[in-house]
Amino acid sequence: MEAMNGFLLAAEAGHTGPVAKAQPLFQLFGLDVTSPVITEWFVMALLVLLAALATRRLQRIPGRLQAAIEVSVNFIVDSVVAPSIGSREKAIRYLPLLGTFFFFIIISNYMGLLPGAVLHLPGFKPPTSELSVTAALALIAFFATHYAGIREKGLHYFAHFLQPFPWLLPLNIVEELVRPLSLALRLFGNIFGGETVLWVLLSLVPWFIPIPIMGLEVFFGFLQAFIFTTLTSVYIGAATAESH
Amino acid sequence: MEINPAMLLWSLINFVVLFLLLRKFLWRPILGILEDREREVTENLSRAENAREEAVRMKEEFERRLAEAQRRADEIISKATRKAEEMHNDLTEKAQAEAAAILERAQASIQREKEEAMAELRDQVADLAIEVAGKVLGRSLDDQDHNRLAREFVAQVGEAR
Repeated sequence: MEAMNGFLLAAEAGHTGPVAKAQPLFQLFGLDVTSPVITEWFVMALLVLLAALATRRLQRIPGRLQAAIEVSVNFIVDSVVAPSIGSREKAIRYLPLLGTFFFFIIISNYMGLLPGAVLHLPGFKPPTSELSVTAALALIAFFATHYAGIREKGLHYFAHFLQPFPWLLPLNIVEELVRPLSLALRLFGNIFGGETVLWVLLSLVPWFIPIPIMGLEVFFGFLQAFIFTTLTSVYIGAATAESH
Repeated sequence: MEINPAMLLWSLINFVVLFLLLRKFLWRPILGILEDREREVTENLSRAENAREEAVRMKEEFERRLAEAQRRADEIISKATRKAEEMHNDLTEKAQAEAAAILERAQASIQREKEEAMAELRDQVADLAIEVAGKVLGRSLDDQDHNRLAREFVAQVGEAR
């Protein structure tokens, strides 16, 4: 119990663990580079490398890597995006954005399961356990939704802010603004929470005990990527829906 | 918990860069090949469907032709059978007619010969009777008597029969 209190005190002070404020490691183009940003680059490099390897020689009868990527892509299209966005055709149209969300978020989440991430190796921290990162993702989802709406429906898109009654305009605007907020907070909260639990457990009992929690985090990491992508699909689907 | 503007900006940039890279290296090629494969599957399915329809059509055609051939074979056989029967009847009739004619001719010939034999017998019997009668009477009849008597006798014998 004493040890637990010690960790929590340290956490509150923001000195260590997932709670620790990200310190700038160096600057690039005048912008502070912190550990989550470096991990983002690592995630990006990993994804692009895998993608390039898998699609380098695309064949009609796929090899193993290509088959794995195809299965993932089909899963994202048919099970994540299409049911939420309304149609398979639309799912494929917005797949590059939504699929990138899914892959980036799920791999970022899983970064927290790698050794060193939780105990905060410098330059290594799951990006999605930072509110600044999830906020950036939510902002992109927000602007992408309205961009898609305007692109597909023109100025008519803004009519839906006046529905079902014009006097609901303020409420509709609040709803639109709350969406990215909830996206960002949900993703951050879940991953940050999981990281914190893992950090406490690993600090107290580094052997075996954290394994079930890590298994749970594998599931949550997938679930949060799934939820973020699904909700963004729902928003884009609603924004581009045929006028009702 | 507060937002770090540099990290937010980096994340925006990073995500956009990742989006562009994945679009080039993942989404476009993968969607392309998935679409290709889908199109190919659709084409193969429609080709298979066409082949099936063609097969059904050919089967019907063959069945039709087979039935036609069967029908014609039946026709030929029944025609041949009818012809054979006709021929058989003809031949039988002809044979019977011929047989009847032969029989008739034979009977006529037998009748004629019988009549001839009878006539000859009659003459001989008459001559014999005259001779016997002459011998009985002790004298011979002249030719005139002879002839008359013979004719009378024959007539009587003929009546007696």
